[in-house]
Amino acid sequence: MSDSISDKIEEIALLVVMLFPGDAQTLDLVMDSLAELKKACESDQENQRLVEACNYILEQRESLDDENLIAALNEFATAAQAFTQDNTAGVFPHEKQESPWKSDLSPEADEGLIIEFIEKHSTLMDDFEAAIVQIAQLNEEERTSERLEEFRGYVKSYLHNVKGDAGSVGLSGIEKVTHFIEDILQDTAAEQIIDQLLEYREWVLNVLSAYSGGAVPEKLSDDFIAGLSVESGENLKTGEGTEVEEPQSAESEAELEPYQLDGDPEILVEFIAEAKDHLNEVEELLLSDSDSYGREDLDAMFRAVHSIKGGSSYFNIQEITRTSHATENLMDNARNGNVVFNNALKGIMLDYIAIQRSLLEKTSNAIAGDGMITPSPEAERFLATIDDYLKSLALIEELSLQADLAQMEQENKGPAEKPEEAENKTAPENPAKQPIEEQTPSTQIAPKTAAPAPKKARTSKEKVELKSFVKVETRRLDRLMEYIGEMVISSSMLIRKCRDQLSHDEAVINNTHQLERISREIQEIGMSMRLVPIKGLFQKMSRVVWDTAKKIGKEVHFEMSGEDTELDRTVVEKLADPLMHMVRNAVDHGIETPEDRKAAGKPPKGHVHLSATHGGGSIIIEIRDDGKGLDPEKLLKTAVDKGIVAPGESLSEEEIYMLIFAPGFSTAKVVTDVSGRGVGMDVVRRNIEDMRGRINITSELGKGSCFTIELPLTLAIMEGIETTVGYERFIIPTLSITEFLRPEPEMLSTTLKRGEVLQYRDMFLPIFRLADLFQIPEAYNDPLDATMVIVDTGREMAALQVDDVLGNVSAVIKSLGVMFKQTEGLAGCSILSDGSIGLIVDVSSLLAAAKKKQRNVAREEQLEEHPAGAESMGRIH
Amino acid sequence: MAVIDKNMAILVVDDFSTMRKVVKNGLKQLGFNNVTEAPDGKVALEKLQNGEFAFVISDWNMPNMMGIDLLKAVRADERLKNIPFLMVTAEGKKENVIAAAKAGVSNYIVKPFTVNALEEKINAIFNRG
Repeated sequence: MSDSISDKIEEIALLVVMLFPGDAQTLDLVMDSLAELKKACESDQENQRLVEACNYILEQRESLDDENLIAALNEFATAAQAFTQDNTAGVFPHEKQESPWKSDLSPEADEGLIIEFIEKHSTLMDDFEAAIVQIAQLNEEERTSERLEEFRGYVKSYLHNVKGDAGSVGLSGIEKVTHFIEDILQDTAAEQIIDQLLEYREWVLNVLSAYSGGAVPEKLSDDFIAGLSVESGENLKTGEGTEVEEPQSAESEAELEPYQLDGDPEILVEFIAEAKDHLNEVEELLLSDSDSYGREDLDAMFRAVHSIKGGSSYFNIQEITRTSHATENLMDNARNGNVVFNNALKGIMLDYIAIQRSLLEKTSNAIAGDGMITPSPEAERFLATIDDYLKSLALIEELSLQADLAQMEQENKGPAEKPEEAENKTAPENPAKQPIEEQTPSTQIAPKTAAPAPKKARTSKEKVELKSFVKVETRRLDRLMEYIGEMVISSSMLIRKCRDQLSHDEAVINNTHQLERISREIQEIGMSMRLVPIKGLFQKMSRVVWDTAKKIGKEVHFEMSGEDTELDRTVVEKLADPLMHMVRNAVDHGIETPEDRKAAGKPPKGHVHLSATHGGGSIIIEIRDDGKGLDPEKLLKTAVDKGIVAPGESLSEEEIYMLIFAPGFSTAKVVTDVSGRGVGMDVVRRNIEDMRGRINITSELGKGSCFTIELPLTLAIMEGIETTVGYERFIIPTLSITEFLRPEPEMLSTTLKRGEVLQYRDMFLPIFRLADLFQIPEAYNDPLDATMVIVDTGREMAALQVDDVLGNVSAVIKSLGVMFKQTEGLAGCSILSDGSIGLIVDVSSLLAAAKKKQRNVAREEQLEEHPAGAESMGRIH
Repeated sequence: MAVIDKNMAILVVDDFSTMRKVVKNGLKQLGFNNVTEAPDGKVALEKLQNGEFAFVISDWNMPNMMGIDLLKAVRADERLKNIPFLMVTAEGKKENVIAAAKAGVSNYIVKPFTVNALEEKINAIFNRG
């Protein structure tokens, strides 16, 4: 009796103690151990009884119910423990008695019904066979669509019939198998699985004859299904003929079925938040620019992945569970020193984080919706990456083994050639294979010493800041802000009334002061609750830099400052895309290749610096690189080539830089696969402007560029200037205003092409009358009576004609109702302190709308003058 | 079937607070309300040594002290050695389950589990006596 056998017996005994009916997991483990025990015993005749006992139990698994099986296992364990002392001792279950045959094929209904079933279907099965054979014998031409249609219909209805009958008499095995075939027929035409249908018929007849003869069927239902599915898969492949990848895609499609979330949604929400925290921690570790990771770091990463996996499985977030499981395995190997935690692995971990974030996002959306998640291919792709990586590791092991052998043969001739060959074969643009390249040297030269040194051991205490937090749903915060806005408005209305009408009552006036102060404070606190540090976004950018640089073979050092600067959540969210685009651009177009840098006398490693600072009511974000800078001449030439700028037009340097934001400027040629996501720089600018922000560029050729984004702190409240036009009030965002002025007669003129213009410094600005644009009566008609608001969107300037400027307002932005949604040029409205409504101007869209209108007017005039031109235009269209 | 004391003090050990909440919620649904939480084996052991717990549910993978080490420490402690101990594992890895069984675990449960599964495990533990 070997130790391993008695160990296995002890193992089984320990497991059986924990086993109870319905505990399939433990049962699996026990059965596993039994199979191993059996294998360990087989070589020795002495253990013959044990082998038989194992076989018996293993066979009974399908037929016995849990209670009987557990009883049998308990008997087995007791007997086996006795057996270890004396191989004739103990009574194994199979020695006790023959257990009755039971399975899902055993009929539960009364015999009469079953006989009826058998009689009916024995004949019908013959018809079924005849129909199948008939179709099978037809050649391609004879298989008309009508015939096929008829055949398919017949097969479906007959199978349905069998299923129903089998179910009603309790032949659950037949019911199950029939249902399985029906499932296949859902996506496959009946004539393509003729062999399977015939097999099915034979199996059913075999089961039926077994019943009538009282014998045991040859194949249990599950075995039949298992056998059939494999074969049918193959047959389908050859049946289809042309597409080789067919079965695989069918398989992965099957895996990509939508799935339903599970568990308490409230806890799920917390899980998502906690998982994100974990991801952030891991990301921080990964991006801390450390070259080696200590065991503690790797443990922490492993644990985070592990926890996410565990949690996700609770809520049935299948993709998270699967990707986390694969990553966990990888990290387990890394922390145990089986695999070196190198850049490739770091990349995988970063990918993992990115994917988890998007999966968590998807899950959040699903909670808000119907709880269904439609899997996306990214998870599969990620799994494939890990798979590739593991395969490459296996390959390396093989290579290093060969290298070892080679080295043994020719000791002093340096490293073996094989690994180098592998390196040469590695296409640099294939990231899946890159690990080989990076892994080879370390594994081959010093497989063990390359294990990470526990140098920078971080203790968790250093990282944890002692602040206490309450997690609040964003929606609730939004609503709170909404109400605070309302409150501020109504309190200021109340205060105004009090001061007007009760100014003699000192107590009331004092109270209004207090109310004013408190409501302002509440507003500030409310705003600050929505503020989050920009750090998270910046960290994402460090990832972007890392990825981009790696992909295009540049060396870039990323720095950030001011990452604790806080701004509104919504702003941070909306900033993510444009910022990512700009950072990618900085690395892709800004920073030169290491060779070019050296040639230019710069250090080979480029720098990208991201900073955030507060500036009054706005926040300023800078993306600075020390790359090659923008070349105004080149830019201008491109712009002229693309028809963005008319030839000969003179532009300031700054204006030329801004051309990169012009629609159509950054086309596919400029944007490499790294920078591109189909988002041009014009979209970046649009996004920034949508947030009422603006963007500026400074650059020095050969030294680098700096993109400056200025954004409002929050989107909920806007600093603006209140103006009047007739009876209407308009609020113009302070950020877009350059100046107000009362025009002098000599500043005004009318041009043919651009209508009214205002001479402002050395420029001619178009004048747009708000009264005309919004058709407001009773506004000042004469520009000399009116006030000009000079606005600058960064891209263009114009003068907006209003009646009067009243002063500063902090406007709580409210959206216009559905009725006004289509009104161009307005961003929303706000309730002013006197209770009236002010319309908030969206300067860029207002200018666009105004210009469109002007063009239309011009065209109409032209048409009136030259009817012939109208005709020719009509023909063109 | 013996009646299980619904007021018994239960210690739930997991480093992931969501998971503790999941377990706690499950226990609550089963009528167990006297639940204390611990974030790792080390804290758990202190709590056990200074308290009167009747049941421990512990995760396997934790910082500071792993679940299996907690189990060993509990079984080695004269006063605590008979406390029923349910180990939570992420997958039914056999070597883990067997290691835990050898260390004297009362039962184990594999994540993810349903309240039903938890109830079954608790019944299995407390009805064996």
